[in-house]
Amino acid sequence: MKKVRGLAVILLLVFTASGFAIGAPKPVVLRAMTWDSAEGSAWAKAVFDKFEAANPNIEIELQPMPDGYDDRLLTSLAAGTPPDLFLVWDYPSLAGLGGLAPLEKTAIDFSGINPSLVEWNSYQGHIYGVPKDWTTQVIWYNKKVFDRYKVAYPKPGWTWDDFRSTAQKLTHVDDKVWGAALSFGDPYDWQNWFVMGGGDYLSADGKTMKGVFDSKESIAVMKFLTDMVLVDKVSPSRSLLSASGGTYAMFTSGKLGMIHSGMWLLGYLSSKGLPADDYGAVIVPAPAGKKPITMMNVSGWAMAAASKHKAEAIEVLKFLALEGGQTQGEAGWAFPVSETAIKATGLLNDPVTRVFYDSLAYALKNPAFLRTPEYAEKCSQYLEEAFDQILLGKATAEKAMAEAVKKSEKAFGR
Amino acid sequence: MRVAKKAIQYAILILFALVFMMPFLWMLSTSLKGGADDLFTYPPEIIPKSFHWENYRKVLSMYPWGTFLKNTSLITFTSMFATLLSSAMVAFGFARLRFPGRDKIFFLVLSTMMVPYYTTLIPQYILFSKLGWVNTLKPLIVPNFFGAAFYIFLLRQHFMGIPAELDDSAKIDGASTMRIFGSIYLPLAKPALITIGILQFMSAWSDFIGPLIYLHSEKNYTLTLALNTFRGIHYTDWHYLMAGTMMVALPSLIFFFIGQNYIIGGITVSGIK
Amino acid sequence: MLGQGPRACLPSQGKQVESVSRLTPRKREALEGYLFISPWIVGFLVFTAGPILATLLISFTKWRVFGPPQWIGLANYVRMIHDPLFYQSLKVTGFFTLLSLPLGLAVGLALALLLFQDVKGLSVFRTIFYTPSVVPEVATATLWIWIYNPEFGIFNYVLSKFGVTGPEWLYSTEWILPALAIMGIWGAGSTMVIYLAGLQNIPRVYWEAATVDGASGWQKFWGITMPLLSPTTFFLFVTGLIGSLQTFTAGYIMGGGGGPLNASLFYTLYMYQQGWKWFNMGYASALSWTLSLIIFALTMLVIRASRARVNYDLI
Repeated sequence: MKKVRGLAVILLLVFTASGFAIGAPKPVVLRAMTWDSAEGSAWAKAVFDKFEAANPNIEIELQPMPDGYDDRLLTSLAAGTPPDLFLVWDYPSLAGLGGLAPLEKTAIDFSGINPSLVEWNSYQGHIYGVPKDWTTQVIWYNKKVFDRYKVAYPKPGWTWDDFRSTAQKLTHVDDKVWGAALSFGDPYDWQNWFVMGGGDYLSADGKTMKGVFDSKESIAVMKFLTDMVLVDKVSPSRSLLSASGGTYAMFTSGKLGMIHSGMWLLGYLSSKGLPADDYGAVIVPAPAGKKPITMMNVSGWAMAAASKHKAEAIEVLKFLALEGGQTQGEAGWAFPVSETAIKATGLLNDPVTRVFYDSLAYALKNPAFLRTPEYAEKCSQYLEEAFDQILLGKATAEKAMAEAVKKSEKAFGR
Repeated sequence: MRVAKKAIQYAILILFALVFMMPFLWMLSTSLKGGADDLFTYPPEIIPKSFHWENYRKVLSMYPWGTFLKNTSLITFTSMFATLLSSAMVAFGFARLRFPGRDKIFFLVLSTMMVPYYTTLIPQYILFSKLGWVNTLKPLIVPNFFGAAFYIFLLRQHFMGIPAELDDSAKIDGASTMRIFGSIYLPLAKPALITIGILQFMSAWSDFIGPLIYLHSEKNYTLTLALNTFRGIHYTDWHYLMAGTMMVALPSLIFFFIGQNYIIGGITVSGIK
Repeated sequence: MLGQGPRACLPSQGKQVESVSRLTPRKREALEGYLFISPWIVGFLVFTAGPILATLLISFTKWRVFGPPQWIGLANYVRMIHDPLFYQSLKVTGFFTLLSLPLGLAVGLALALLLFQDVKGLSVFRTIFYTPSVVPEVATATLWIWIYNPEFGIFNYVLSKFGVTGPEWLYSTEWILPALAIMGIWGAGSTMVIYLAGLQNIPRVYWEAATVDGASGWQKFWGITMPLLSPTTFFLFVTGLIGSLQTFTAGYIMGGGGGPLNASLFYTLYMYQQGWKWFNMGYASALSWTLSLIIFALTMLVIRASRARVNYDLI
């Protein structure tokens, strides 16, 4: 009797255990890659944790990849083992390679998101990303530096000449203080200035730089920008900027009066424990008689076309479209994407962050990098070279820009 | 005047020695500094005013260096033994066994020493990619199981120097070729094997482009790749970066100090002629 | 006659004897020979010969890794001939080699000569000079970026003590390659050790005889030391040449995107960019193949030129 009972108990246990094993569904594991460091991706983790709590059958493995993100992403796409979700800003090249899955006809609701943001996450009529957050680029100014040299704070509606003279008044090389940081390291950040001045980087259809980048309007803008460095000497040299720990380090230690940047400065300030009150923000200046145009930085979550868990990934994206950016917005240094979430964060009440929101109305339309998948290889690198040559004193603006156009045309096969 | 000459010699030597040591001292000094204020001062302080040893603790906590050490060790030690064993085997074949085409094939081995590393990089990458080995440690380990031309060359020299009488007496005792290889030649080649092992260690430990193209997930990173990534994130935090650099350099230095007699002795003995 | 022993003589073994005796000792040894070298053969076919051929084939295609390769004949090579960056990378690599190779050899030799005199504490000095070459290149490069910092780095500080204003080093198109070459000298210890070995192999007799004949130090150096070191120099030169033409890590870390105006766009770095950044595998293969041909041609040239100058007999 005992033996049979013992056997029955064992059999029962075995069946129950296997029942658990078979019955309990294994959670689907999605991989999500970000370009922030592990600390910088904390907000993403918080959002995903929230999603996982509401969706126990889906697990998200976060992969921070702060260095060589693009290389890694492309390599994994090529190897057929991409992450299911990943951050993207350069839609054309990835979409052109067939790496992204279009999102417009899915369960994701884009209606609550500012159309400008959706535009910057689309390419050729398809929406490829759920915007995760955004910032416009404004002029930050260091109040202490302005006070030190008794210069009035800049006001919206100011012109390029105001900007130039302000920078000159703030520059005191003996005190090791400069008016503005103008290193032009990434042509991306300055496209809005060229458009404001009547020029541009390349044609609206993205097919050529000829007649656009080497137009007299573009040349005039380039001269204006680079003369401030070469002639007025209102900016520290690139090597000095980099050697001194970067633009933000110099700005926050009172060596720079103004910088052209986004909301990330707030993140930097909070990570270093510095007070935000010493700094103000103002919309970018415009040429006399013209309206300002602001540059934006927006990126989104995209889904790999080769993902093996598309249904689950869509669920995550749906959630992100509604609540995603909110958590980062809660940190106070990026705007969430949905209007309701923006209003909920209280960022509109702060006079500094308000400037970023107001600048959104002047956002650049049809940014250059979204016009062609070959932007980086056939345009952007020559733009960079042109800036480099002029700043290193190796060529005049006209020559460098004509050179850039020539190389770009060659790259296009013409 | 002999004395004067000697004095000058020593002076020059000491000067050079100081120059060679300076970068290490600078690295150490920077790693102990407090932050941007200490780092970006002019004139630079050679000896920091306060020693921030906690930088090392902080750097260790920022990144899973233990994992990187594990990966690097795994790759290095496995490739070390694999390459030693396979190279010794092949070298023995060329040194002691006769077979048609032996010398022609050996010439082929020698000529592969001139094949640039970068020639075979792309197809190897594609091969490993098709095998699904990208983002694993396998592409960095497996190719070492097939002998390395340079070591084969060195070991063959060495083996050829071993008197053939030893073979003969072993054969009379009925030993198989494998036995002769394993119980006579390998032990006799120990000094050369150790030297080669150490050289291979240095090379595998420092490898950068291999990990760069094959390893994508952080959990697979080696120390060299991790340092590069770390530099990308903390490129202005020189105190942390130097601490990290120090930690990555340390295992090589330790290994060198332990084995320096073998390395330097081995290079001397192998007599590059 | 390995392992044959008495077995073959026993008729009662029957079949076994048959199969054993079919393999003559010669054939058996040959089989074992092939067996022992088989690892290398396999490795050679799979990792060397195959890839070399494959590189050539891929160089005739346009392949972006995402899709299948498309045959385009010599188009990649035509592109290469018209590619200004191809010439730039050749220039950078060539200039760097011309700069760093002789410098590295000279410093290595100088250190070896210094240590070759009877010096107390020889092994300490030797260790000090050799240690830097043991540090992984990634670590060295990272350290030297900081050393070369134009404002706060130690190099320019030392220069300023001599009243010299240091250049911008890694930010300057003229100085970035010299910067990398100087960093390379820090690793001259490995060259030094090999030269030391070479020096030790020269019979002292030669120098002693020359001293007796009244030769000066300079004469001894050029007349005896250098010629007798020529095999060593040759070895170091060839390996140094092959290595230098493939410089990658220093360029990648210290001038990531190719340096200011591509002033440090090493050939292998350009190849890496084409293959792993832009995914033009076909073009990258064409570049790779061309590099191999260049290295091969140069090495052959050096070997030819050395036949007249390298003395093996006197040792």
